[in-house]
Amino acid sequence: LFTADFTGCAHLHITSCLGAAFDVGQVVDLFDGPGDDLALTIDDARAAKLAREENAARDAQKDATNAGKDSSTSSDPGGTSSDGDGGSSSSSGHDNGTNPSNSDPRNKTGDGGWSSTTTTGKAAEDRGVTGARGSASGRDFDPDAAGGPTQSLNAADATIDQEGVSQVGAHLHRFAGEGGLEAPEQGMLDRLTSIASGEMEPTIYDQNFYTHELDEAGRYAELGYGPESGADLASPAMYDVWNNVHSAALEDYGVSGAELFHPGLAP
Amino acid sequence: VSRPPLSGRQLTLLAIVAEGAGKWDARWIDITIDSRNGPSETTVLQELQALGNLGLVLRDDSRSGVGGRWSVTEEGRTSLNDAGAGPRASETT
Repeated sequence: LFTADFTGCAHLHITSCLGAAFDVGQVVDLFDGPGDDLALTIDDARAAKLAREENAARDAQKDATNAGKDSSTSSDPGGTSSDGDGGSSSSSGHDNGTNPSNSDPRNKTGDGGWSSTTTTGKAAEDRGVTGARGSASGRDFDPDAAGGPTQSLNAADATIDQEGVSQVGAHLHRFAGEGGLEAPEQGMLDRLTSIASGEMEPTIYDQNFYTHELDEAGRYAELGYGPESGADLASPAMYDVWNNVHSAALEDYGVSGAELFHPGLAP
Repeated sequence: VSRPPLSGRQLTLLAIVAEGAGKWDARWIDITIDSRNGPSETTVLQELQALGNLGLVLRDDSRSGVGGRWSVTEEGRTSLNDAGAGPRASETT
């Protein structure tokens, strides 16, 4: 009936509407009572994804317009800098314009181009939060503390192999408590093991999970928290670090948290 | 003084914390709610801290766990019951 922009959990910003009792642009308080909104939240990840896609399309249109305006004044000969544009793109300040090293697990996809995909600026500042919202993940995080700038990579290009699966397993076990991996993580790891041994074909969820965990591990390493550092990634104090690298890794591959796990294994 | 009603997001998060039965850390709670319901305006840790300020959840840093391990207080359980929004029955322990 309508499409919506989830600007918060308690409000819905109607962006288009056909025959409903809402106006386009109206912000609707959905949560008059404690229980009447639960049915909505059950499936709002899908709706949020649709909304994000609409927003991304809108942003792309704005960027294209701005690029046209900026082209006459830009001093960046390669056109790759995202510094100082004051617009919706962000610069992480980490080696912009350079490719990741060959030892970076993120290179497993073979796509080494750097680009910034997060949005920053006034909206985040107004909320007093970390300063950026991922355009793909929708997550609030600090791209300047995420182990390097976000990239535009494609999980579908990844080949799942034994070495990579071992790295994924080792990375996940750095978070595991005495009870081992959470069941969905173990399930995904088992799938990757089967895929690497040729027993089954990968789905996009497998490739998303695989590339995400390798990317996340690489970002931890860039921040000095690689396996050799002896850092305890499961420390209670490590949430912000995890949030930054996890969110940036989602942005690298343009996926949301709802696209990481095979549907039958989702948390 | 009565507390303002919890938002749907808060109740959903509270139910997920209850589902974890004190074993889930903020990272796994975050991954779970992000997978099921999408992200929020702030970080999940900030959302948990807000629930903690309301006396509905408790953080335990005595064990390893990213962002601490979280459990629902009696008051939080009452809020869930009042809202008819308990944890997934099949996954509670």
